[in-house]
Amino acid sequence: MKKFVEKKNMQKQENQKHEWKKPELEDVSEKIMAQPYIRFT
Amino acid sequence: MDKNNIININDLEAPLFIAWQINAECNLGCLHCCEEAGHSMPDKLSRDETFKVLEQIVALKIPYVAFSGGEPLLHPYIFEMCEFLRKNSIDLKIETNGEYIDEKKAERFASLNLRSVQISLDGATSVAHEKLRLGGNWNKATNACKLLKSKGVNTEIVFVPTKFNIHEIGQIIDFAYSLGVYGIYTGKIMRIGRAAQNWDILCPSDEEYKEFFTTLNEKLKQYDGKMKVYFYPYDVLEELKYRRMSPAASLLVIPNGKVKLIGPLPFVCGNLKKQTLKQVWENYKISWQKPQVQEFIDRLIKEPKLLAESNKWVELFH
Amino acid sequence: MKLKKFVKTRDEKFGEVIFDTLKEKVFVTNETGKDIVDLLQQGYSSENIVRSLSDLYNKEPAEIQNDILSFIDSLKNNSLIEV
Repeated sequence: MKKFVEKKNMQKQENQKHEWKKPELEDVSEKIMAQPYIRFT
Repeated sequence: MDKNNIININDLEAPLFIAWQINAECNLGCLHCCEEAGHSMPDKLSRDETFKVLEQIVALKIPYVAFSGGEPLLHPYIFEMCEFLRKNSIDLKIETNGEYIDEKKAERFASLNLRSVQISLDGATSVAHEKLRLGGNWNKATNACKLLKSKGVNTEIVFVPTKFNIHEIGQIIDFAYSLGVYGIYTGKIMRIGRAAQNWDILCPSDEEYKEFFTTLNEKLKQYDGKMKVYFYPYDVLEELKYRRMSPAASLLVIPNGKVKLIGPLPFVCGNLKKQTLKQVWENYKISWQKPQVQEFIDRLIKEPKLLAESNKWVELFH
Repeated sequence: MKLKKFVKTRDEKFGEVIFDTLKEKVFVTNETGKDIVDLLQQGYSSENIVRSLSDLYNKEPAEIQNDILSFIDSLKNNSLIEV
């Protein structure tokens, strides 16, 4: 577990704060993904 | 990510999906073919160029690719291309007429652990299928589904409604279920390519479409949780009206390496013989807002016949 | 818990894209969501994810636990992970 925190700390730049933001999951399929039928060939 | 600022393509480093028409050769002459496939395309990507594109797909971590054609199984090194992507954990779908799938190829696809193989089946029996798909063989297409299924390949069917076959929608969905496929896709026929040329004999009436969608809704309920029944209720113009505001995170690569914005539009935003995939992606992002593209979509809405020009490429960048 | 077979992720500036290619469903998440998915992929349990992220973000576990568990629930509800 420590390994993950250390790795992440190294990855993130020193001036960048680790600010907790509520994790969100958003479905963007309609917006981003071509319709399987309309793109079909 | 800000909840009030929904992601769009400008927020993405690379496309999420590549639809790649790997060849234009086809053993069939379907009346409704979007690409007017049949003959080899001049200046197609060489083997080196093809693998350079594949390498870029991997490097950009594009998660999902679909190979179509023409008939992709006529491509001389399709399996090497598949192996390259699968070795690099890119999910892959193959869109084929199924006629070249024998036991050996089905086994090969199974070993590749593909996302799916999609077979075009335009009838619940041979009559309508073979009337639309000139030179086509319904038995071969259905056998392909059975073979793939027997080898554990995730198999899908696509059905294009026309005047000849639209009344068979209920039957073909039942048939698809009897084959044990993962899903069936359908929607309104797209007025592009040869379908545009044959529009008057192919396009179903409003009445026929009404019945078609009623049946689809019934079948959707009937097969809920058993088989994926997917249909897109809008026509190609509705899709374009939406996409001009919200382009998909996908590129359409044609056999000569040119990259189209979307099938129904003639616009080309790059060439993978001359540019990197990343450069083409950056072009794509700004292409949709070009006045030339927006004005053409406005014209299409007024004159849908212009959709027949979808395969007459127009370069957006020189 | 792990991502399902045809679920792919890709880092982006805003966090991460989570793409179920079989269902052709695309989701996006922020940096914290990405951290949770990373840890799930490494086989961490929910409890260990809470502990690990409380260290990383200098938060008391109790402060972030509900956020994390409800995010994992939404991954489950969208069939992106299997137990």
